[in-house]
Amino acid sequence: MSSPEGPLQLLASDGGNIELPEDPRDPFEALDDLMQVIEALCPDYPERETFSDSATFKL
Amino acid sequence: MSELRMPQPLSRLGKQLQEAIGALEKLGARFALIGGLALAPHKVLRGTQDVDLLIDADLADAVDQELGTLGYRCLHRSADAANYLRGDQRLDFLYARRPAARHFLRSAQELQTPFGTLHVVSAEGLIAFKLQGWVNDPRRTQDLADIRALIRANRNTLDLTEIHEYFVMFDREGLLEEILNELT
Repeated sequence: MSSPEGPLQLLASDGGNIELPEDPRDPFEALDDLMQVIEALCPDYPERETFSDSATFKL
Repeated sequence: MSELRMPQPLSRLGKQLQEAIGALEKLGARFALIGGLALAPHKVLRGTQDVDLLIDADLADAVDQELGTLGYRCLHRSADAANYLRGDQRLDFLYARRPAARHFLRSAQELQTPFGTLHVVSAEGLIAFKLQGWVNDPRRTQDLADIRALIRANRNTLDLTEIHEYFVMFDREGLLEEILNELT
C-alpha cells in the first residue's frame, strides 16, 4: 500500500518485516504465497551458518 | 475431528515443513514451530529459508534417525541444538531440556495450517529465542528486527513482565527499554 504523505521507500525498514493488517486471511497461507514469490526470485537457497559450539543456551 | 479444509502448500519451504511435520508425527514427537516461520501467526510476515523447530531433547536420537531416512545429513549437533541439510534445504532444531524451553513447548498453541497441524510457540517465547540467537551471534541483526516487529505488532497483548525476565536473563534490559521507548 502506498502512503499519500511519504515518498516511495525502496528499502524496507525493520529487515523487511511486514505487520499484518487486523483481519488477514490465514497467516500461513499468506506466508506460503510470499515464499512462492521469494523462491521464484531466488530458486536456490544460500548457504547458512550452523549453530556455534561456543553458543550459550539459557532457555 | 475438525474438517476445516486447508489449501495444500505450494512453496518449496511449505512442502518441506509439511514433510517434516509428517515425520515428527510418526515418531509421536511433541514439537513447536519457532524461527521466522513462527512469526506469521504473531502478525509479522517475512520470508525465510529455514524450518526451525523446538523439540523435546529426549527425542533427539529418534529424530536424527528419522531425518536420515528423509535424506537429511547432520551438520552440527550438541545437547542444545542441531542443524540438518538436504540439498539446500535446512532443518534446524533447538532441544527443549531446560525449564523455559520445556514451558514454551508445553504451552505452544495448536493451529491448523496448510502444512498440517502445528504447535507454535508464544510471541513471548519467540522473542526469548530471538534474543538468545542474537546474543549468541550479534551479526544476526534479523533477530533484532524480528524482536522489534513482534513487540510492535503485539504490544497490546504481550506479557511484558515475562519478556522483561528474558532480557534480564541475557543481561539486555537496556535494549528492551530502548525498544519500548521507540513505541511511544
